Amino acid sequence: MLIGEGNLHIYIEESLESLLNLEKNILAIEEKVNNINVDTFNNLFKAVHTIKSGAAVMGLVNIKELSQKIEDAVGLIREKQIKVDSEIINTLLNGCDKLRELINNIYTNNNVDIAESIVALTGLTSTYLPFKEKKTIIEKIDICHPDGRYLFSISLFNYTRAVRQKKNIYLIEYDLIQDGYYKNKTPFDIIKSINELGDIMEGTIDIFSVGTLDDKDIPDKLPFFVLISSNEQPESIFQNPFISNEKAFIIKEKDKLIPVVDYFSLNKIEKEKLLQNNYKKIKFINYDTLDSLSKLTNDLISTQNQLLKNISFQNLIGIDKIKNSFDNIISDIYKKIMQTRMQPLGTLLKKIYIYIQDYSKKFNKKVKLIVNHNNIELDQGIINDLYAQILIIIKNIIKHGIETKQERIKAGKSENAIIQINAFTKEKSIYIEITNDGNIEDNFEEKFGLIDIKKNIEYIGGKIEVVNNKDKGVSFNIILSKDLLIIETLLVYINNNILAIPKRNVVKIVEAEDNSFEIKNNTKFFKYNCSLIPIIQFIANHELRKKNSHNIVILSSLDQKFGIIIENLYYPEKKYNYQKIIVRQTGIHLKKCDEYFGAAMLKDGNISLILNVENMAKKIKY
Amino acid sequence: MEKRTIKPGKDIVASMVPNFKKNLYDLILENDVKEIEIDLEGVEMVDSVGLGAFIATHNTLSQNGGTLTVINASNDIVGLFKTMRLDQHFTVKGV
Repeated sequence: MLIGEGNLHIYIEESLESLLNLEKNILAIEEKVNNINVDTFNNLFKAVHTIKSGAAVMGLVNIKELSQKIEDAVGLIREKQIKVDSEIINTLLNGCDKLRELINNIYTNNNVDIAESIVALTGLTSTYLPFKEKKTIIEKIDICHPDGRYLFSISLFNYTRAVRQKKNIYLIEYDLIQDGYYKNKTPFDIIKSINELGDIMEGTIDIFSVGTLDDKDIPDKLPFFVLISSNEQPESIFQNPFISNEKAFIIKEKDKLIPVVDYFSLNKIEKEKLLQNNYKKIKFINYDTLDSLSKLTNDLISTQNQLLKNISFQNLIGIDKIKNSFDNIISDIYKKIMQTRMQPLGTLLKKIYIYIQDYSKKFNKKVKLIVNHNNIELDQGIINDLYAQILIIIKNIIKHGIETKQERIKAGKSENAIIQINAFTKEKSIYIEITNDGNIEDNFEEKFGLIDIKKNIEYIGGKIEVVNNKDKGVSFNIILSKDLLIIETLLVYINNNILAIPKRNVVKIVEAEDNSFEIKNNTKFFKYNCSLIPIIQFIANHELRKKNSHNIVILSSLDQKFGIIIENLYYPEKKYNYQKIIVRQTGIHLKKCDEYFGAAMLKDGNISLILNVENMAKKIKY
Repeated sequence: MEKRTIKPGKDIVASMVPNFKKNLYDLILENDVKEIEIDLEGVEMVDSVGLGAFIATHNTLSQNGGTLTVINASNDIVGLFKTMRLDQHFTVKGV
């Protein structure tokens, strides 16, 4: 056994005794439901913790997991989030019965099915969590290595529980060969040492670094990444002989990893600040809530309109002040929505690691993914669509571009192919470059389904460039506007409809007399800066004839300039007509009308379609 | 699909790994065995190099469309494999 037969028997004895205490205190909770003694909770936690920590050290996985679930439920009772009744007590006592069965069958405990008890206890915890935290039971957060590699996901509930308990969370990389084998330590020694540091939240072995049976007998490395929650401060954690400072990180705010070496270079105040409990900083990004917020904004706007209408008949003093304050509130709500919708691109790109493993296995290739996301954020609505297209590209690169191991060796390349995703911003655009060191087959466009990919990326307002560089191979560059989904637009009237024109496409608004136009080859042109630019006319000629001069918005896209005649600006009295709007996808009926990029609700509650200037530019023929 | 069971009968540690890996290599790559079952009856210890041998076997089988199953593992060894999350890659059954 891991720590010897004698110790195991001591553990069984101690655990059965703790279990009795556990049951006794659970019954005490039921008896004194409205006046539970602090000692009762302390005894309860002590009992369950004794069972759990011993099980962790001895590799008794099921006992550890089940006792953890009981501890979670008891934690919620202590925080008064669970109102105790006989059903809850029964669920807890059933869990204890299962624990007893596992302890009494210690040699086979890891093979006993504990699913029923786990589901019952998880259900109990989930039912009584505050509404905003319910989803944390099923929501996952990704833990990635600072180099971008996806390692594993943990439940948001486990994460928040650890933070709530004021524990520090550490990601530690062990090398079972260098730190283990060459130092005469077994994996059991390492696991035991980890369990003494804190609770293992999740772990993974990087199995791809081990190679196959035709590789060396003793691999160069066998990395084991483990996430632990611990009451210990970094100073004492890193006295552990197995832990190297360079390979250990303190996790803050879910996806922020601070290398321990950086921590040690801080002064005392900075260290304390870094380790401060950050529970309040955790954002629960809940899209139901976001939708509610959007609806709330609509309601607020309707109320505003109604109020203004009512007040206008009464001429109350201070009406301007009320209106201004309303405007400010609405403006703030919009800002909040905009902020909350933004999601880090990196988190999504890191998920591709899972698919890389699957695709590599499926197509029998060896692929390493490098992601450089530069903390770019995009609107959630676009991220998901974009992610789907990136996945298709990656899958096809592996299938049609990456050579087999043998082919790569023959070509003098490294066994492991590299696919790199490099995201960066340049001027007003976000670039996502996907490169690879494979050899993409000829005529790959059809195999990749590039026409569909292009169409889908254009639909979300971006474009894709495929660059075939003889030396560097084929790369795929996706270009998006930084302000793609929350865009600043010029609002205009055309045919009594409000249209929003993305500001990035607007060159100038000019006033033109009738004689400024010329007709050539059935196309109307406007003389602008000594050149003729084509005009797209939505307004009927007989309407235009009613006026001698017209407002023209000069637009630019795809290196082409053209103009549209508008009836009027939406806010003719204001100097600036640009408004930030949240772009919403148009429904299925307008999907084929590619002159429109989407729709938006304006601050005053009106609806506007948004012109897709890029698509309009493509249609200009003269 | 051919299935074979291997029963090392001793601890899976660095000193026995070269032969152990060679036997597995021959079975998978030369005899085209797709399913390997490693019976750990009598095995009390797996060291880091031994763990590497299990993973290398799994990786080789995966590349050839096969699967690895570990059976009769002691409580410790099941616990070790589960803690290292290796049971997410191949099946590990205890005694």
